[in-house]
Amino acid sequence: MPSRAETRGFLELVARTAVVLLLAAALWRVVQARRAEATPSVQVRLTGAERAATRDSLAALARSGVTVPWSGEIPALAAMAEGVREPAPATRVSVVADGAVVLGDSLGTIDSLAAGSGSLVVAGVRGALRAGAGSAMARVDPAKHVAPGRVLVLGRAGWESKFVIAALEEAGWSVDAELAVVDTLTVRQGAGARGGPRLGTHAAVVVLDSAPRAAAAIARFVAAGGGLVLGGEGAANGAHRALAPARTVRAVRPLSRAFDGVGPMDALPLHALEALRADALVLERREGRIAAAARRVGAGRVVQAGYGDTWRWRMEGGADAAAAHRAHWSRLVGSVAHVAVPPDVVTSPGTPRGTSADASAEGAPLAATVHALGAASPVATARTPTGPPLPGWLGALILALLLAEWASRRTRGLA
Amino acid sequence: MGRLMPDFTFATAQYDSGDWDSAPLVPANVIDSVARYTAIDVAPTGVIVPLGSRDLFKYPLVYLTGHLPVRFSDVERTRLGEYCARGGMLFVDDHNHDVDGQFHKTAWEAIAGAVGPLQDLPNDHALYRSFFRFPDGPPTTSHELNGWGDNLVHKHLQAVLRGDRISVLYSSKDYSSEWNYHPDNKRFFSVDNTRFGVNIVVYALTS
Repeated sequence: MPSRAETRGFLELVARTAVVLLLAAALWRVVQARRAEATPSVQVRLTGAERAATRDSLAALARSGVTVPWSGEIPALAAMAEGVREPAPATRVSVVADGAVVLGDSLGTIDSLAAGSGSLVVAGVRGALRAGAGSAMARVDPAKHVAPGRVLVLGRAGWESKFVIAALEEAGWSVDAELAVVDTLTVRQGAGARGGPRLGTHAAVVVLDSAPRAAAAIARFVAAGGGLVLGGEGAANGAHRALAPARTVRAVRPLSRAFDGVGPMDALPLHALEALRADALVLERREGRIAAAARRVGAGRVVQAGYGDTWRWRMEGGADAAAAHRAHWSRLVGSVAHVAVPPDVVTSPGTPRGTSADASAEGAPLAATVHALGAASPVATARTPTGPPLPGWLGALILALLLAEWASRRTRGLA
Repeated sequence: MGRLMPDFTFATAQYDSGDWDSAPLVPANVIDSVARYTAIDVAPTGVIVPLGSRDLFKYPLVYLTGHLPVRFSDVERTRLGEYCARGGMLFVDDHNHDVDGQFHKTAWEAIAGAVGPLQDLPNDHALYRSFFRFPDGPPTTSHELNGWGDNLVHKHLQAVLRGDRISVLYSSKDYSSEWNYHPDNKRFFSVDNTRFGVNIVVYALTS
């Protein structure tokens, strides 16, 4: 057991060590304070309405050594614009926001969207599109519209082929067609209707029957970037099974015969898609059965849509049936159509092709701000220590420890 | 599952005025030719569809003929206009073969009121090569060559076009008489005179 003298000696050593450590801490605070005084700082408050140039300036400032803490409640908002891949020039605007969004362009307000996510197809956009949610403003530059190539329709002589061609042409597509009347006779429409689809000529091919026509050419076309729509009986075409999203189909009768019910698609026969491939995406269901699905194959895209006799929808449906039928087929083809991006659409690494670099930079104000400046500070303060380098309580503590250590040594008779 | 409906059903228009059923053997004869020459899935019998009925929309090609004056009711006129706007095609044949006859005069007026004015169809139109080739335009009929009716050989058919597609095809050539016989009797002809009927059907199904 240590003697009292040894215990006091140990406590004196502890007190001396503590004093040294406290002095070192005080010295560190002094150095930090000096360093902070030497580093410039800009505290900013942002609303989300700042232009990209302003945000980029602050980011440049931060990268040059200036501390740029920022504060402000920027609403979560993201907007994206893309040229619709259909012949009629239009822009599809997709928006995600916490609150209601107001869309506009350089001419004024276009429309508004409720909170959440939504998209809108807008024709005749002038200048940049603006999406405002609260104080935040997203600005997107619509990608330059590029009219896709021609569409090749393959099928047999019948109402479905006739009205699909009519719908596509009314929607603005240029259509070539090969329609079989007998084994030895095919009715052809358009200069490019011979020898299957070609990427330089066609953007997409629509197969409407089960004949194994031009299967090899279609496979090459899709692999190289062309689009394929397998519609109606074409959805069950075994010659394109390797490309189709579904490995098998099952014929299902219409749920009703009349078009005066709730959904016009219920009155159509369906080739329900089954045994979907792992990379296939379900686009539409009818009573739990898969009615349409899509997948990528090589550089191209394939849509399999099982509804048959859609011409009956156009002819027998309600007042807007012809327009709805036209839009349905134009959308199907537009979803797969190959569009060559022209070289004058500026892209940068990490930017999706077809959108300008500026559009991606301003499309999401909050994300862009966090990316440029880091997360917001709860209160805009410098991150360096503040106040005097040696607080009073620290000085008092050091003095008390030194006095105690000195007194202890003196009472023990030591110098 | 087989198809719910054949690809093509021959439909004859029934209208309120006139003798719409004046050529009852034409449907069977055209159906026979379509089945004989093409692989089109054709219904073995034709149907009769009231022009003012919504059932009209089930048949995108409809045949209309008669001898007597044609007066479309308001419902028939509206229905026919909508039918053509949606892409239906009406084939009208003057069973009188007489441009001075009552059918011709009233049918032109009724069609103009419901769909639009008729105009001459060029003889190089796709209709004349949609299946069989008719380089000189519409084939003549024995009624024209024999000098019956208006004693004219009509050089053109007439049509109402929507874009470059035919909405209404009008004939003064009296194919209704020319084709109004039992299909079994085709064996007595050196050339089947209903071949142009096949062109009309194939054109309607493909254009």
